[in-house]
Amino acid sequence: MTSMDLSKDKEQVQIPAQNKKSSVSTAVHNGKFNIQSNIKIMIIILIMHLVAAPLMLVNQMAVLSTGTDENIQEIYGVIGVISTAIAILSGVVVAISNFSYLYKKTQVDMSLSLPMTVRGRFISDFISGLITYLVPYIAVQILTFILAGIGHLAYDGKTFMIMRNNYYAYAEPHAYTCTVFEDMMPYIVKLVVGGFFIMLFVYVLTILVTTCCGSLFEAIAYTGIVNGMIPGTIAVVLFVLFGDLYGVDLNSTAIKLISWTSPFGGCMALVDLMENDEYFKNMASWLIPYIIITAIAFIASYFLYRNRKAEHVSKPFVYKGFYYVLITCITFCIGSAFLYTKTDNFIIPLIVLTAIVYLVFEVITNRGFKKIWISVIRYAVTLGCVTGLYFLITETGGFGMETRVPSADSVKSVVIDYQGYWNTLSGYGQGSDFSIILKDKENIETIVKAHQQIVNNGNPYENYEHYQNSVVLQDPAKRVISNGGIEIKYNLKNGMQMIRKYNVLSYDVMEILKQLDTNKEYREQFINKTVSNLKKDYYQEAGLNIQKTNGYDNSYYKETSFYVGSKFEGYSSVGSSCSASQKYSNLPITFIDQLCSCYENDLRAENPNNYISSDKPSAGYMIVNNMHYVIKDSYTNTINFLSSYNLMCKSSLNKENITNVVLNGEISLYSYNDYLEGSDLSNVISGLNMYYSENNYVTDYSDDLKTLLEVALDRNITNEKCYTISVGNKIFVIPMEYSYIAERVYKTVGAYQNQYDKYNGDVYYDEYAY
Amino acid sequence: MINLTGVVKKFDSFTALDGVDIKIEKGTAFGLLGSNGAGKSTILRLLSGIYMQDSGEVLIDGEPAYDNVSAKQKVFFINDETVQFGSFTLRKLKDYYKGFYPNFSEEIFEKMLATVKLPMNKKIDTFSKGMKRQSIVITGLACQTDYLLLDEAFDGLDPTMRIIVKRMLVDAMMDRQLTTIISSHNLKEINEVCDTVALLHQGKVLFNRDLDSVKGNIHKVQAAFPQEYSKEDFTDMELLHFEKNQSILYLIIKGDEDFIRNNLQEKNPLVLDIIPLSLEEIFIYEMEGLGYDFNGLK
Repeated sequence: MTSMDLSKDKEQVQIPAQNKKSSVSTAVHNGKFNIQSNIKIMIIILIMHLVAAPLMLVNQMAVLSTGTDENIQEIYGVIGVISTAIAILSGVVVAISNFSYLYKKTQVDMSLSLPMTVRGRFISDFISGLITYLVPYIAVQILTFILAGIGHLAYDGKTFMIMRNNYYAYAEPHAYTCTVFEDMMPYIVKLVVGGFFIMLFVYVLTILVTTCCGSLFEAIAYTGIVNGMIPGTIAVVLFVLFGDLYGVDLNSTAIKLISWTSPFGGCMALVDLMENDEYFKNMASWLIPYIIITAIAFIASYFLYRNRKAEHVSKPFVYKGFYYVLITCITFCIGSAFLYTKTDNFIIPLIVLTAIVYLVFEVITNRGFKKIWISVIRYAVTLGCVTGLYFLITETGGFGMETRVPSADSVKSVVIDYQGYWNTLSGYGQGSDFSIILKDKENIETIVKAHQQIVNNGNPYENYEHYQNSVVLQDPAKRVISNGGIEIKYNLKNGMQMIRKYNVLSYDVMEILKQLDTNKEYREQFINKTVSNLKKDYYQEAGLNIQKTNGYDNSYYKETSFYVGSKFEGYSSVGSSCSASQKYSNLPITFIDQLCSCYENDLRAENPNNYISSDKPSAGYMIVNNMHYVIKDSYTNTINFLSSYNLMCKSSLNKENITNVVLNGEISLYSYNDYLEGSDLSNVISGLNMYYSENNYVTDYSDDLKTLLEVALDRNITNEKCYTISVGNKIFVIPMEYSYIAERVYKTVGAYQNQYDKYNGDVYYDEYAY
Repeated sequence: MINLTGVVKKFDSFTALDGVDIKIEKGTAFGLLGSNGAGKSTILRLLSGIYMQDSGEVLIDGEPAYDNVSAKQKVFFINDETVQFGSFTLRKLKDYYKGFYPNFSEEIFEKMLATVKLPMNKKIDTFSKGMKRQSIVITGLACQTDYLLLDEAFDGLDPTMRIIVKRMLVDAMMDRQLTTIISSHNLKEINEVCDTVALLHQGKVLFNRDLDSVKGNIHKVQAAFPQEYSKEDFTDMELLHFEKNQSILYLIIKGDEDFIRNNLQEKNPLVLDIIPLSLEEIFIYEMEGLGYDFNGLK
């Protein structure tokens, strides 16, 4: 047979019966070996997790035992954040390592020739990597609970300080001293469970990208790019393109979409769930879609993996479509940014930048300049398509989204955030929630009708003439009403939701909406909300435990005060001329309940029709947790109650504080004509800043200013062309009968303003002006 | 038995295999010969389930090779790489493959280990190229699969180790009817080990038969004639090569030896010698007939 010295006389050995190992057993064997091979990575991940929460807990116990420096906790917090980030990102390393035969040509033969099915290999590599990645996390969470339990028992279960933030002790009450198993448990559960699924998504997404790529460089680079482009593209489309549409508020939709579709978004959702519940009311509303998206990514990975051919290893991309989708998204985002800003001559920089980015990607992917001309053509087509898409979205108003108004019949209920005709409340308190649910058919029809009018009026920044000719509610010279606008959330009968937000309402719209203020369904909820918000804001600022959910440490808030100020309070230093306050610690625990009761009675006592037809200067404002709660002259219960605590005062302005305020640039006077200039509403607020005046002129008209400030109204319904005066960041109306004074001041100061502008900052006195 | 029927395999626009039909009986030592890029390694990878054919059938004992655990457990593939298991120790390599192949024999492994004397607990990437090759060969043989595929497997082995490895292969073939498929450019080794060969060129099989009949079908003729003859005077035979050196003609002719001899006798040669060719010479002259020669390739 051959020239070898064959052992022909050797005994024939019985050929063993063909044993078989099942595909499951070989896959399990493969998985076990993977875990063994990755043991070093697993240890590193374990260490990263250990130096986060467990280390902080151990340090905290040491602090409580020995009384050592508490500030070191912040350092451990920083270390914990960094190490946790490393541990999360190690999911990329594990995934790429376990599936190395997808991009390493030297591994392909060995791995793919092994007796495993394609499915068995994928599942065993997937699960073994997942075990490597997540078991350390789970183990450390269990350890953390054990440590917390030890701390709970060791320190009487009363106070086990998790975290303390000295900087924000007076501003934002976080968990300073609380019990782990009572106060913090809901947050901890969210964090642990949410963290688990975020890590899972990191892992699955990396595998999906690695399956599409054929080289290590592309696998790593495009994992990073995908993690950025998913939220980035959603943000550009929804915030930039659709967000520019008048009234269309897709912020919530965008945040939710980003939160459901990316690890970064998952972290955002967790922060929201831990702090605000602004976008996600509960864990399930984020987590269930997140798990579904993760599952879809997993299934997609499997099918792409299954259809992959071994010979494609070492190509940059196995599935070129994946690359083209990404590069198109990148071009779209860059192009949209330029198209959106529309700076002068934006076309050339747009083309240059997008071309550079696109062609760099092409050169890297093609590993050189071969067929660069095809890349150029491809780029031109891509740019054309994304530009076309951009204009398609913007010119059609988001495919009609901008002008869409649902029919009243299709609406089940409407939730509006609308502070009424007078917008008596302002500010950004933490407790403020003015969402009011309207189910009454008549109210729904009112909202729809108002909405339709808003749409018909068009965008005030593009259709300012309409707004110019409107009679203003609070600023007759301003043309537009910046009374907080309205947010409309339609709950449609088909289960969908539609949200619109309009910051600027013209008079004709206000005329439609004013019936709400006299409507029982609206008014009841508005009063209840106002009183409830007052109480929440009070508790928030006072540091009291309204529901014992966060376990605030009261000791940090006892120095803050309950404040009642004049109509200028909070807007300018002129307001500080009159205010009254009492430390929360000096007020009885029943104070807020009694105050709320008085305030509620006063609100209910208001005659709605009078309320709509006119208004008077406010007697003052309760300023609670950055919210201004108006006190009108008619609120006798509230005024008497507050007076009993020496918490009411009348404003008294004097020349000195007026002069100071003027020289600080806090006062501007506007004539009716100031708003006729320019096509951009943002320009009309320039007005006439009194700052440009010389000191002696301030002295000359300070008496006039004092008069104007005293008579200035928060809001006024009039067809007259009145002057307005802004104090700080709030605008007041000068009643018509005082216009002559306003005009006198305006003309005097106006001359100097003109000269100042003319000479670009150099003050020049034109003795012939005026 | 291995059956490739009408197998086509393409890599993008390049056709690596173009309708290949090969049958490999159990217990044979099969050699795959061919020019570079002929498709030899592609066939091995199809048989080991790494690649999937675009059309045709690749069957191992009647079962498809691709994505089939039971078929794959009958095949062990040793490629020409030596880096893929560098982080393993020999012990770990053994344990790894043992988990996949049900017939793995510790006894055979230990016996071969004693011969090659490799360290069990050192990482394989510290081994020399030859030692790496030995590691995977003894592991593959210890798996006791029905089919052993070797792609340039003797590369890196010293002459003594080559003999040892070949002896191991032959022992296994004798003991348990191991079917060996060897792809190599070292035709001397193919000649020594294989009993059946297939020659591939540009994705097609030129011939597939036992080695004796290959050798018996192509002959080198040295002859001298009283008159001048040119290449065209031999068109009645399948002439692969014609060379004249003064009065001696050197011819490579395919066909039956008796037929060739009778045909040439008619021309009254002064000298006529018919010499058997080595496998290497057969390869060179077959390829030359297809234009794949050192004159045709610049």
